Amino acid sequence: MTTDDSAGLASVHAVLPVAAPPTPAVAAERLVEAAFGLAAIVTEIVVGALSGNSGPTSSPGRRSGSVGPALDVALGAAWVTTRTSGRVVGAFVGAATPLVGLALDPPLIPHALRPIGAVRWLSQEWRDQRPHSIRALHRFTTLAAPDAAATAVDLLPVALIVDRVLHELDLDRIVVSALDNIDLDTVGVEVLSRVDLEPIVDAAVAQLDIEEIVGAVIGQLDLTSIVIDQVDLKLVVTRAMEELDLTTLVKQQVDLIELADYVVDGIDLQEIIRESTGSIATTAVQSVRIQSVEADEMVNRVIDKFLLRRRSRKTETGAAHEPSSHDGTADHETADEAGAS
Amino acid sequence: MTFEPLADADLPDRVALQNSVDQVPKGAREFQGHRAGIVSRVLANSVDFLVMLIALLGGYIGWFAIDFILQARTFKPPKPTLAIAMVSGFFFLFWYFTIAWATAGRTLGNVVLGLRVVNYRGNRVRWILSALRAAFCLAFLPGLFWVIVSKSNRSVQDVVLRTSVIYDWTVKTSTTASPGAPNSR
Repeated sequence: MTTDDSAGLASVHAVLPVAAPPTPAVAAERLVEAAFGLAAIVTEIVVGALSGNSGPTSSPGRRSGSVGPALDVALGAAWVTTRTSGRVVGAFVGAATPLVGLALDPPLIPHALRPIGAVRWLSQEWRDQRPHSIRALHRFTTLAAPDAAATAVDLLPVALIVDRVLHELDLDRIVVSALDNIDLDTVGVEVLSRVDLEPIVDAAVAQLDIEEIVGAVIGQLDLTSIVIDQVDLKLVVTRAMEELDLTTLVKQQVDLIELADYVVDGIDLQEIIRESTGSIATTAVQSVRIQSVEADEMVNRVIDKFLLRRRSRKTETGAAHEPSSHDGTADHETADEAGAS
Repeated sequence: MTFEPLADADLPDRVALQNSVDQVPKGAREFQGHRAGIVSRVLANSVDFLVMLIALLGGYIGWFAIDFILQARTFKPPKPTLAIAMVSGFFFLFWYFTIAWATAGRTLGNVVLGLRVVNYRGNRVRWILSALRAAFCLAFLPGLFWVIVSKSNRSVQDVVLRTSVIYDWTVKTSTTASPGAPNSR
């Protein structure tokens, strides 16, 4: 016996356990009932198939039991007859059992000559033979199973049967139960150890639009919040600052002169310089000047109002104010030239 | 972070930078180049009058000292008459105005009040015009008050001599009036 044979035999014993047998009468009654049930179902299937009433959704075990009055009558007569016969036989057996027991194990006869010894010998012989017979059956079914399965697949509407089975099963409960009983970690590790992931990943990557997928994922994520919550920004910035030579980087990438010009254009640098360099005396003089200018304006308004002037005074001389950009010498020359002309 | 000092060629011209700084406060820029009103001009003349008094006092002290040195034994403090004082004052102011307007375009009073005297082109007045304007101002002091009623803030002297007294807070020696500026009449 090989190791595979032992394993197969063990499985057969598991499927067909040797249990304590019921009494012969009870066993016979159950057997007869089962036979009638089988006969009824087979008969109904056959009659249904012949009459064309069978459909993919019909279930023999759930039939109403009425495929035709004649068949019902015939099955009823057979059942009554068999049941009656069984009870008669049962009564006979019940009455004959003590006699048979006495005949098999009669007193006053040496044990070696009693018939019960032959019965026990026969029983023991079967017990010894049973494993061999089971093993032979297993071997036979193993050899015949492929052809039988192929034939069955050819003859039977397998897809219909599978569909029917799946329809009847509570797959959710089965899957949940299976998951409860499976160590997914072990299974996952085992699968990963056996599968060459690289070609699978390559094929998946080749068929997928990674950019689109990543874009869709990023579009649904609030990356800002995730980064703020999950990333130590201070540490990242610190590391980056440590690794970067900002001075060189800025000098290479930034036009500092242009940047300085931009900043100077954006602020009133002249005002800042003038205010920062002005002395107290200068401030006092400017205050006097401002007040005198305001007094001039006030006097002009009062007088113009008194004289009923509608238009304000024309005090512009065309010497529009511009920031000084000339030195005194140049202005002198300009003035002299203008005066000479 | 440290930066290497920039080369001199990369630095802007410091003198040019200083000259480019506008010396006029932002609030006063809108008045620059406009003719001044009566208050500013009277205050400027008041300062100039004070200068004249100080000059006369200085002259008197000098006269006093020289007389004391030359006539120590018979020294008596000089007692100038009012006429002498007035003539001296007018004489001083004439030259004071003439020189100041023809050179800097402004007297000390003009400097304090931020004023400048310019001709009809907005430029510094020449010597002759400056002397004429000084004489006219001293000869007809009430002419200044025509500024009060003038529609263009001009005194009688300004109208006659085609000059103007403008606000100019810059410290340069001439105005920045562009050539061909409109006639100030």
